[in-house]
Amino acid sequence: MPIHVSLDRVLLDRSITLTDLADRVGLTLANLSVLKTNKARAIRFSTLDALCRELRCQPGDLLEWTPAGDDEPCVDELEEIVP
Amino acid sequence: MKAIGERSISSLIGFSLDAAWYLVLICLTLLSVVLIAGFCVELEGKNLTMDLPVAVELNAPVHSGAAAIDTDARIGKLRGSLRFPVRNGAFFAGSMILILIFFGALLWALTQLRHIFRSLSRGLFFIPENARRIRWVGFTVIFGELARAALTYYWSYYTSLHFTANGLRFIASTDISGVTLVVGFAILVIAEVFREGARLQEDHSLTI
Repeated sequence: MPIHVSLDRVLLDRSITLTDLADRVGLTLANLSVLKTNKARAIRFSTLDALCRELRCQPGDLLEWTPAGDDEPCVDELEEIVP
Repeated sequence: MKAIGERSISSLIGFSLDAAWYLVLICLTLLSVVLIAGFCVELEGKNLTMDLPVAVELNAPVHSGAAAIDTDARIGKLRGSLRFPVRNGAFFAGSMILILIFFGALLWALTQLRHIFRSLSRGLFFIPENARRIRWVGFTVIFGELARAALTYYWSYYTSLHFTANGLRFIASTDISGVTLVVGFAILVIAEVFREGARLQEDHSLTI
């Protein structure tokens, strides 16, 4: 799926656990795990609204588009890893 | 009659499927016993008969009732069954094996239907397994009908070679049912509907 959900990165930045977030947005932990592990097929606007409200972020902070088949890291990322 | 619960249409269908499954299993067991007995016991003179489908060609004119006025109608072909005493041999064994295969396929199709019905009772409607089972039932209906028609032709051909009767001429003929084939294809279409439904169900369950 070309759309990736960067929920784990935002949770880390906000120091919130997945369980806390599940309680705040009214989703089950299982569903939130499906979202976090990029196994979800679609996301409702109401869910996106609840996540952005609790995490105080924009939808673009949570969702990232990667062209299909483009799994290779870009050159800039490689230069960061290998100085 | 209620739709679900005790004494409902659903429970009646479930009961009918279970009853049919056990009935076919009993017939399959009895036929297996007869087949094995055919290898071990001399069957001639045991009052055991078998009916074969036959087709008889006639060219008899038809008259109208009591007035006996000639009409333009003629009897062309009649279908019936020929009952004859069973004898040990390749024909009997081969026929029994083919009938066993038919009953085995019927039992297998009923098993798939029971599995589908059990999943419906658990609230699992559109799952890939049900789509696959319905597709198999559809193929069983189609190929079962083709095989039955081929077997009917073989038996009538055998009869035409080995039996004669006064004023009758046995001919090799088959009676393939187009309606049954259409029903088989309809079941395949329903299987595709279930396959698409399973896909939509999965999409729905993975929509957060």
